Amino acid sequence: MMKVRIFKLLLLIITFSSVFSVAFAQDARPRTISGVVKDEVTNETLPGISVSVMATGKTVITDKDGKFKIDVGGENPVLVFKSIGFVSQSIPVKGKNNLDIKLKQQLVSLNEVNVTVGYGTQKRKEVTGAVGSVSGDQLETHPMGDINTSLQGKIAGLQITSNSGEPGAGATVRIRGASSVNGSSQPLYIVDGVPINTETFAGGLNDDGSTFSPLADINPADIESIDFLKDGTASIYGSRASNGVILITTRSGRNSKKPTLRFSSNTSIAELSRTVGVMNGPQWRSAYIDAIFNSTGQMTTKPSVIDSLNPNFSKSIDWHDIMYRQAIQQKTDISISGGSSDNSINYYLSAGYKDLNPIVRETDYGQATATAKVYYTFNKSISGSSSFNLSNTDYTRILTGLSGQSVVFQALSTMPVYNPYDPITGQLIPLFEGSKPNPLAIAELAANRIKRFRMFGNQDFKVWIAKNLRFTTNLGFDYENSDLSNFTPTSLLPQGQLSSSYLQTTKASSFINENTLTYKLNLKTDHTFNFLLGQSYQKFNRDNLDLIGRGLPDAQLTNVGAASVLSTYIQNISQNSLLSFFARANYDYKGKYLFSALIRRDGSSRFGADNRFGYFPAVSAGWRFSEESFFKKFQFLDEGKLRASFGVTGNQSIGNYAGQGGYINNGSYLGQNAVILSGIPNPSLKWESTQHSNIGLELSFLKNRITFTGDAYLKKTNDLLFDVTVPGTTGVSTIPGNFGSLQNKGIEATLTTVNIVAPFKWSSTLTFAYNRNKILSLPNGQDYRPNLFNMARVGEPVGVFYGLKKKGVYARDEDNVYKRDENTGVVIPYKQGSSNGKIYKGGDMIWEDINGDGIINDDDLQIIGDPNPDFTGGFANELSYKSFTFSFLFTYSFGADVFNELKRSLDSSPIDQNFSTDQLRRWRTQGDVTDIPRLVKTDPMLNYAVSDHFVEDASFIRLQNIALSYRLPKSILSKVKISGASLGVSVSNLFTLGSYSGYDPEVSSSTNSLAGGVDRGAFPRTRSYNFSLNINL
Amino acid sequence: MKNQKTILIYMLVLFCGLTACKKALELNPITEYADANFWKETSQATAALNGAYTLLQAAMGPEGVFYGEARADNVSQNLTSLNTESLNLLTNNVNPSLRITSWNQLYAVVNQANLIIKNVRIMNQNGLYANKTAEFNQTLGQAYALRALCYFNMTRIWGALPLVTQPLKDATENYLVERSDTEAVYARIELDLDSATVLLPTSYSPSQTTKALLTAGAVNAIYTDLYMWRHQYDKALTASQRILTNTSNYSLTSLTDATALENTSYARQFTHGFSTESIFEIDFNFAERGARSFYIQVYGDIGFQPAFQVSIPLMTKFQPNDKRATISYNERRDITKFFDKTNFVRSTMDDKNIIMYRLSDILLLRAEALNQLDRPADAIAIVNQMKVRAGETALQPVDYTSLNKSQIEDIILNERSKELCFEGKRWFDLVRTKKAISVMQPINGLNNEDNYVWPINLNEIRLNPLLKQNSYYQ
Repeated sequence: MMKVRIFKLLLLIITFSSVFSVAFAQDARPRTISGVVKDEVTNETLPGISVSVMATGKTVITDKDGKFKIDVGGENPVLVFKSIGFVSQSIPVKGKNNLDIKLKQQLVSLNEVNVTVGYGTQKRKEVTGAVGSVSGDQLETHPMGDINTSLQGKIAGLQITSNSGEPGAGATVRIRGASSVNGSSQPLYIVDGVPINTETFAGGLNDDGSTFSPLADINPADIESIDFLKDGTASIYGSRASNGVILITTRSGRNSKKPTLRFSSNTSIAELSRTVGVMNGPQWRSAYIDAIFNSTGQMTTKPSVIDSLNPNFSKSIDWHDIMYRQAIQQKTDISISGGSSDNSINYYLSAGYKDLNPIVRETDYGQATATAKVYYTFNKSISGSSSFNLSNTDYTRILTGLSGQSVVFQALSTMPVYNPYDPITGQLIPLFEGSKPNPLAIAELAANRIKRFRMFGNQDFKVWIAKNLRFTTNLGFDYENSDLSNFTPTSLLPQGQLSSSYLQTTKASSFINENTLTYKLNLKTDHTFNFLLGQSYQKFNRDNLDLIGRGLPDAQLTNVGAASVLSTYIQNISQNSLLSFFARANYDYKGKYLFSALIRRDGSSRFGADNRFGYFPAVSAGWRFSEESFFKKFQFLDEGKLRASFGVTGNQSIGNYAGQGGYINNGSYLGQNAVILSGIPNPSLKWESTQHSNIGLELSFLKNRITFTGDAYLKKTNDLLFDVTVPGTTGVSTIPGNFGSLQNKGIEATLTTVNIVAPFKWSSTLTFAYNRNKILSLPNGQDYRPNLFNMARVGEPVGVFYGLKKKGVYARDEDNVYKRDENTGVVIPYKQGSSNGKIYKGGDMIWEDINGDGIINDDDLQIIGDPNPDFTGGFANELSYKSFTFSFLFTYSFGADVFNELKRSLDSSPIDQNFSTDQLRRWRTQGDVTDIPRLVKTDPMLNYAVSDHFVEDASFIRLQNIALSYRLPKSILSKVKISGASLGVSVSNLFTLGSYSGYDPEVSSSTNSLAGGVDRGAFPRTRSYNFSLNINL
Repeated sequence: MKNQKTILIYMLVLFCGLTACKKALELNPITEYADANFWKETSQATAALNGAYTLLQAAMGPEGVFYGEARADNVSQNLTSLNTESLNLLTNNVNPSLRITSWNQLYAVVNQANLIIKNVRIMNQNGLYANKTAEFNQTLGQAYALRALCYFNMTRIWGALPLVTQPLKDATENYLVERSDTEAVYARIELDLDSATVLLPTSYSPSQTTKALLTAGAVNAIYTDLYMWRHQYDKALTASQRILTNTSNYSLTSLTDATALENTSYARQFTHGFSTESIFEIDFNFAERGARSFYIQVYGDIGFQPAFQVSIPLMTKFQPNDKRATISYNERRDITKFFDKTNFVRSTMDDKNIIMYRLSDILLLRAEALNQLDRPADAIAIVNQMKVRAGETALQPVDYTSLNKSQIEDIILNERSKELCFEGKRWFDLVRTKKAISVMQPINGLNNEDNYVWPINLNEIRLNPLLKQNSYYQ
């Protein structure tokens, strides 16, 4: 085969040479023209520009300094200068020998960009669904981020809420609102055609509520583009597409012939972006004395409170300063891409390393990634590609959340009077007063670790059976292995509690085989048909081993094997599979009328035989009215398209054997094996389905200087699939089922404008999305309350907060008047909980008594907030002048509420701890008018019940990123044989405007939409200052 | 040509994929039992029964202490405690948001018992228990007894209960159940005890398991407790008599059978369990996956922040020479009854069995019944049996002949309070004898009989709209 190719090449050269010789012969006065080609704006020389003689087609390419030499002849010769990304120029060269050409950068019409739509690509102008796209370059401005954070604010309708500021943190990713209420209402992610596991995972068996995203295994530097299927056309991925599909295309060596080496290095300084106000030593002493006195009527005898001269308790420590640090983070990426001269083989290889030291002391995060991707063409009809992605992560972390071993919470709740070190010996004190762990000691002595290895890749072959008929087969795999371990030494636990070591090892793998046939048919040039027929089978395996050991000898051996007793050992192996068939037909009339219809039939092993298969159809149409003759007169309009789609997508996110019910081992009794019920079967469990209608308008004006895309949609989800929390009388906590329906409707718009063209260039993109979410039905129309904070109620958005509404704080005991007895004039006061409940006194909260019965109880709960934002989006700007580029990105979210459980945990003071600075305003004596109730240890009047007191506005505008970069001039670089280099400085998360009093308004402790918007003390978000260097060889 | 071959191969693969379609989607659990594959062997039913006991462990350790002691006068708040539950209960601020008001874990036992009762009978019909009648009887009998025990404890705590006696077949069945009145609950408990008593043996082998599994003796103890609760004294006497006559299994321990007090069989029944006195106790063994009853969270060295310390009223009840005082608490008011006095390792030895019924308890209940049936001398005889064993002086006829029934009941209750202190009995004693208000009002202001029952946990009320909260908490 190779021989044939070389032969062909030789033949080609010979043919060309003969053409040249003919040209020479014809021209009487051949001459050589030389010159240099430069960029009109930056004045940089441009290599690789094609220079051709119009008459003969003879072509040369400019060298690395932009110079060219070409022989011309004939009358009035014209040279044509062409290159991708530049406006072509034709220059008559009569009488000229030396040329200085300035090329103008072309505003690339987005309509010509290829968009991945699932099992194929389309030009954007041909797309009939609602698809959003982000290019890899746009991710680069955010070097330390992962995919989730780098996408924030860039796509209208895509709402990404990081669950914490930890490296690799999970995120709640919603396309067009929450359309499911089950745990993983996340989009489906497809990397180079292979669906990969992106289910967030918890930080181990010692569950602190933190979540991590497997997406962190992908290095954003390897991404070429990301496309989002937002509407019903996503149903080409049928069963898993209810929450949209995110298609990631990784970089490849396509279009590159000579090897290109890209090197980039980033260094950041990260720090805590905000602190939360807690009391200092003297403030806390006074508050604590109040709390104990109000509860017991006695003065506290706690030494740390009453003995302020004791060197152990004489300080006033801000634990933020002790626990958080400025961390240096680094990231280095290197990649090589290239291909054979005819591009029959091309490759992309990359390696990256990041060292993202988190801002909490004693933590460390290191991740190495590598990819390899090769395309090869065997012959005219067979080609193939192979790709591998590897990632290895080792993260030494601390626990977060509201647990006693959480450094985040302990940094706030630890009493400010404690001295972290023994004043006499200078040694670290692990436990204060025998029970309160020292956060610094937790960070130093406890060991929490996530070790993770991930490998995924695919192998495909494309076979052209006939001219327009192609068969593609694809084998993909995804494997991950993670070890999550936690160790808590005895020294950090109140006496009598055992040191513990947790280990969770997970091996998860999936294998996929997809086979598709595509056929393209052109009839009379005006009619273009594209057909797709395919089949897919994917099998998932998961093997979990959970071990909890207790009673380790010391803090030196921390592994579970060193424990004296294994209190838990559970091995859980599970499998599930999906078998699918799908077909799609696209019809295009003159590029003017576009139609598409598709159907997918998915079978899932999770459902019983009767409900196993689901059908997911979609139809869509587009009308490019700018192609109509009657529209041609509107010169300012470059492109106009109206499109509409309707599709049905599904969701199967439920336990692998949820429908079957079952029994599991539960240890032993008297040495004999014990088995208990683990789940109640549900034979009628079936697909959740979402009907998704969408209309969209796309416009480009003024030579593509203004591009507008707008969409309006209505999404209705039926048979919501989730593990519904049931009463305890059932003997189980949840049962799987299909319950209720909900809808999302909204509009979204993206406006991209090129405000100033040259030499100073300014372009901006504004994204906007408005979504309304509403629950349409629930079983028997009843409210559903899976937890203390959130609820589902018909007619209301998913997961609204539910609690008491405050009206203030009683200034005096006698202010508590429910009503007066008409006859005796005796005051009947409001009571807490029941008619026999305690009477509210001065300093207690005044609650709204909805039913007017004078009793504040569960009947007085009402909706007090909504965690779903009304509108979200971003505003990106890029300004460039010569070699400088300045960019900034604002993201915003308005209308959402957050429940500040972190503050509630501090102030409701179930245990001895510090309080928020709100308590400086607390009610102290009769007559005090304030909004903060009096402090009583254990809060017997439930003043700190779930109420709107802790509901805060989560609206914010964040300067997500601001960056300045400078491209080094070619003149310098050419001396050191570098083709391009740039330097940059940027700041991530410079500031956030918003009224939220916690660490960050963008917080969601859960990916579940029925448990969203509650701030449970997640790892705070960081601000980082980055310096970057990029070199291309 | 080559291409066509390749295509052919792929087409074949595709075709195979299509035919294998049915199989490919039929995946069954690997490391757990699918519902359809369980209840197929008798060993599975036995494992399910053990599962019910593990659920009972979770339901009672140490919750049983909160149910039976936290609202009564034997314990008082340890001021260094971090426990929200104990403070609220001791101060009679019982509210439905307290975690302890959840009955979920007890209902988990009930549900497991329901599953056993339903399925072993089906298995028996299908002949799986052929030649295994004893095994069948034991399994079914214990399930009935467990269900009765849980319902009895729950009705004493919450009053009227949703009576669930059938497991859910599948998720499509209605699972919202209304509360049945207490009469219906009592009827069900009695019915279950009747079923259990004919099925259960008096002992198992090895002999230890006789104490930690439900036996005919244990059923009689529950009968006695139930009849006393319902003031059916004759029936209580009959039931308790059946225990007394079973002398081969039940006999009182001694406080003098070792030189060191802590090595006496009396002291060791709390620290080592499985005593001759024990009728039913829940076994905990640290070596079995670290099983613990978590008594160190409620009792023990107050420096370690357990919820409770011994109360002054209880301390004053003991006569100076009462050895039980030395066993039960120390001069720092640490509750030490369940812990080895020397070499106690708090972490690994926190697996003390929870004694649900023992002979002294039944004897003293008998004393109450005898008193009610106007046999005060017989009643006092039992009290004296307890006193003398502990080293106190026996009551003489002059001490009680002039006393009325209620006063003698007080003597018996005081004796129970000393003998059974911290064993989760006191609150129910006070409620049963209607003395809760007179005893507790001076301590925490309890003043309403409707306040005796506990509130139903808020979450449960929210999840089941058919449930009505107990009137006091409305």
